[in-house]
Amino acid sequence: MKKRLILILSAIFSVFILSFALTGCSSNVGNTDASKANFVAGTTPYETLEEFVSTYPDRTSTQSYGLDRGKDAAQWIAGKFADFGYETSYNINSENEGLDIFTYQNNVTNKSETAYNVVFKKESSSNKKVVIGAHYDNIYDISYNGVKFYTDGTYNNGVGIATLIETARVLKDKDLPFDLEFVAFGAEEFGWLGSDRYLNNQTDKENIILMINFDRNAIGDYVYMYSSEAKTAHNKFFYDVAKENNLCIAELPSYRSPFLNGVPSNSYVSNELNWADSDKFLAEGINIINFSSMNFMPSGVVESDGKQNIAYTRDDNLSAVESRLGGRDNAKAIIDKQINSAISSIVYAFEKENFVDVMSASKANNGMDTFANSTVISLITYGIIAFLIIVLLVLYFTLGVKTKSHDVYINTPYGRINKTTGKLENAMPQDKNVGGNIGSVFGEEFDPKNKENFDGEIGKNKDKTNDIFGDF
Amino acid sequence: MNFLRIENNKKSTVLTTLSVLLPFTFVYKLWFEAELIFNTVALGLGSYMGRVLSYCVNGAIGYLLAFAAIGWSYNIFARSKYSPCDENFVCKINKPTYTAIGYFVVCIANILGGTLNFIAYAAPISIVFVTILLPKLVTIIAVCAFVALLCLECKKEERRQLLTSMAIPCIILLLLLR
Repeated sequence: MKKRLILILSAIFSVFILSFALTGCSSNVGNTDASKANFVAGTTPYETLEEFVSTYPDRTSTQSYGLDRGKDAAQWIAGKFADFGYETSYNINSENEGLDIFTYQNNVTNKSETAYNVVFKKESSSNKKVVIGAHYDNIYDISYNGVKFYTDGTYNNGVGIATLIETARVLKDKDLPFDLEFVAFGAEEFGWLGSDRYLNNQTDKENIILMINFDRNAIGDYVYMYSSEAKTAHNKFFYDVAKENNLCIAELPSYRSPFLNGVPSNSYVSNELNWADSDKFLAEGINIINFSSMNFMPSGVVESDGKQNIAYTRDDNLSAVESRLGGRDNAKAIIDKQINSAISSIVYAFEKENFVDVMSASKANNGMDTFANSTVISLITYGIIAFLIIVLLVLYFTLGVKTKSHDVYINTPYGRINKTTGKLENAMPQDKNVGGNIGSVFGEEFDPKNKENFDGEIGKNKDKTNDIFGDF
Repeated sequence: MNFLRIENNKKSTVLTTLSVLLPFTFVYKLWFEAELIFNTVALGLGSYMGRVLSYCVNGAIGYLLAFAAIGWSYNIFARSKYSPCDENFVCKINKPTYTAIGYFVVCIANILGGTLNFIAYAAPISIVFVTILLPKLVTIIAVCAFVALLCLECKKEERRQLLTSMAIPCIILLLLLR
């Protein structure tokens, strides 16, 4: 009966534990129904994307083929920001208005090349600043296994630029309690050089309370929003806003399961971080929010489960994307929904009264989760364990010596014989604890009445008297 | 803790129950590692089966290590020349009692550790602290509680002996308990 009760109880307990554990399985991908979402009005993401990638399919940040391949696209983006009424500090001449021109050593062409960041801003009375960015460059001509093909970078990163421009459009008339800076980064594909350049130019990095980045943030299964290896206060703030407004924003796969959240050396994390411009900001300790439409699988980054990758393949073209998403109308509906979700979450977050306070208080790396601090915490942990082991060993060898150790005795009907000294000590009553056939040493016969005692505890003593270190 | 005092060679419902509960508490405590195994190794088995398998394997490893740690530590403890024995060298803390106290403490520590992790993961605090330092602190507290409960089984004058004889077993427990 008791056994059955235990089995039933353990079965109930195991069901409880498993169901509790498997809550990590639930997909926290947010709302996927655009009709339920509360989008901001006045955006035209798909049209902007179409115009951008069809007019400037080659935005490679090089000067090869006798062409300055990324400059036209940079000027087009600058024109958009200027039209919206944003200001710029980069006013060399009207042709290059808003362009921060820089040179870099291109490791692919082995030449010194020129690239362009597009930088526009809207100032406020506050010294706090939010940077919103996306890279506009792509790699137009790609050779793979000897076959050359061309991509217009619709996914990487036409959608990011469309989102950047549409965000600027929506925010142009908003009064915000912080400075706003829009940056279209160049030369991202050659090692995040545009974001490097931008950060090197900043003299007030400590005033940047947030950097929002768009990189490949539409076309995939979901739009993910993340801030660090772990869920941070600023990420939670944005995600809560997205949920409030039924926006189609998903949490990072590692955030979905509370038990993977921010775990260092997790394969998810290595895929999620260190690939976008925002990670340059994160490395500087600046809070980031990155929007990205990739399913971060341990085996690699894919946009859609069960489908071919888009980035750096011949599928990264507008026509291929439309065909993949079921024609232009479907593609427009999906991309508009995804881009509008990102824009709306930003606009609604900016409108929150406590936005600046939360962003200022939040820590980019979740407080302590930098590599150095992780190492320190690990060292502290194992240091504590090592210290305890040393203390225990010291205890064993010092306190142990002071404690009266057991001499080895032989029990006899007359008392016990100290095996070391050979002396008879503590004479014991004969009717109790008579132990072992050692009695015969003294010429006594073994008393069968005491058999029970002999087989019981004293029997063990017999073994122990033979070898105190023996296993009994 | 009278209910944990078990006589030699007697069947004990308490010990059986604790033995059954222990692996499940390890599954609970080691969620994170199980998720990691699932996401790096067992993902190909599917969301449900992969997870169940990862959780079971991880819980089983934790349980086996605890089982070995408690068994081995008792062996060392009982053999120690400092172990609190009566005048006939019978160790007053017999193996079933030692095992029951060990399982009891580890079960409580696992439930506590698992719950703390669950709370801490949801909070925006250092995850490294939560995943690395916190479990070890829970283990250290559990080992201290274990020794404290063993102390209750001894006379006051035997406690020093017990502490000495538990030094090496404590090291084993600290190293093996997950």
